[in-house]
Amino acid sequence: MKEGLIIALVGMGAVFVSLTIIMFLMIGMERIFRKRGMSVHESTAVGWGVAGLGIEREAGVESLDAVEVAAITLALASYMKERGKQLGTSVVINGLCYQVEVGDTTCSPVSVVVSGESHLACLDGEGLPVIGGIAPMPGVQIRDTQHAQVWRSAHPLAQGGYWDRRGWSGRKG
Amino acid sequence: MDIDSFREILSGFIDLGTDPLAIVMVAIGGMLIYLGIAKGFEPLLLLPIGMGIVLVNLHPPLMEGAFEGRPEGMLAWIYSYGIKNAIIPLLIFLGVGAMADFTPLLTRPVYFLFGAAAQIGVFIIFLVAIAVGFDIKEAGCIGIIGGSDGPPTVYMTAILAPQLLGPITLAAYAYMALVPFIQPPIIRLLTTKRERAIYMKYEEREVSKRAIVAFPVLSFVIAAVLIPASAPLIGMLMFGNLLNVSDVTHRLARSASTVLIDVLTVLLGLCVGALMSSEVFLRPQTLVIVGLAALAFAFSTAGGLLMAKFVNLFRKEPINPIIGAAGVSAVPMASRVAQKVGQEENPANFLLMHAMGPNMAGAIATAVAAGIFLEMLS
Repeated sequence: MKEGLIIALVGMGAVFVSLTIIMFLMIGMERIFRKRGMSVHESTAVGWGVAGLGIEREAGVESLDAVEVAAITLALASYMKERGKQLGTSVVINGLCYQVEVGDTTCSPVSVVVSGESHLACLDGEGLPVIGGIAPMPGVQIRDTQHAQVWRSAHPLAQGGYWDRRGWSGRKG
Repeated sequence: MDIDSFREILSGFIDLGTDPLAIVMVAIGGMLIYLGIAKGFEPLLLLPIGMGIVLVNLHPPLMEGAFEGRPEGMLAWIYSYGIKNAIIPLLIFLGVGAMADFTPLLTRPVYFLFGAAAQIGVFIIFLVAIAVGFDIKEAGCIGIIGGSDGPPTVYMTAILAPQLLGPITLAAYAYMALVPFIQPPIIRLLTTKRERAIYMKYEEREVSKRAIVAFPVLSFVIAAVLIPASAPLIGMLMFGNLLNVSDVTHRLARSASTVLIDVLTVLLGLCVGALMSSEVFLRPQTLVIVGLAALAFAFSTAGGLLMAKFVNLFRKEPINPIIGAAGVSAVPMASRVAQKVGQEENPANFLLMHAMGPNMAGAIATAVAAGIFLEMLS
């Protein structure tokens, strides 16, 4: 009976120790993987973004790949710029919030940072073509001065850049 | 045709007349088949076990030579090569691992504690069994029934007390089928109405894929290092799970969780049934085992439940203690019971997915407990 008692006590203790070790290991491991995965994966939204933005995340929605987020971000940035506005520091896709930062879209390549991870995009070795809408449109009142324009050119006039129907182009040959 | 040939043909009837206890065993086998088919109690197991009992009691040569190490009958061969060396329960555990989803456990790792606490019944009944006169190895095998997990129970009993394999396996699986009747009264006894009505919101928390894949590997390494004797059980469980979560071995995972486990369950059931000949099964000892197994279940349920109440002392957001009762493995029966009892008190509650966490922790904890017994009693 004494031997049985010792086995029971040691056994129960060993069960607790084993499972507690596994428990803490999994907690630690999950935290490590979560931090690494912040750039694209699930953790980005769950922790802070979605709740703060009041967006309900749909069950079963998968987080996107970093490159996908970068592509969507770039498209949104171009869209915003077309309307004379700038993209903020975060985008929400399928209820998941990603921290983003888009560089100058007229530069080649364009830098898109998704939650700290940098991606470079270019089109035929050049910056993205800027469509005509970005030019000051007739009837649009520009506040204060001409300097209030939100766009910049990679090759301003002084450096030989020129403006045509496609927007600012490279230097005149 | 002479009279001897006629007697040969009717030998089955004549043998039955000489051993009336065999008729009782055939009736027990028939009852298990009935419970499996008509009442739906663990039919996947009770049906083969019942058939095994009927077969071996009507035709004992099926198990001829099984215990002498020179098998002759069909079931004796299966027993010698599948059960006696514990291959079948281990491979069944592989299939269980392939079916298992540990994500609910990984989303809230505190549930590991509930699974551990639910093993208290195993060790209490181990002591009780010694006190009532069982050999220490037999006591360990009786105690492990409290973990309510079939493969570890069979594996351990096949190694430590093969003479009790029949009654212990039957008790283990029968009580697993009876979880919906055993657990609710214990839950109601140990919790207040208010505790049972605690609402637990189910939020889908994602676990990184790397953690899901790393979990089976790490668990196995830890278990193998701390309790080497648990390595075969945990190793098979986690290997099966790895097949499932790795996303590159879908075919193997599908086979392990369907065809392999089905075939092995049939073989295990038939062999376990075949071990229940009248002289082995119809003894007062069997009744004591059945009684102790019920107590083991009750203590294990109470252990998980009380651990949940204890954890609540340190939490801002309380856990419904009912899910602690699912710390006995009995997957997924114990989780269903938690869901049902929880909804009776608060219809808005949906505890099933919460309860799956302790449930899976219980499966790991039982394997660890079996390993500890094997380590210390072998």
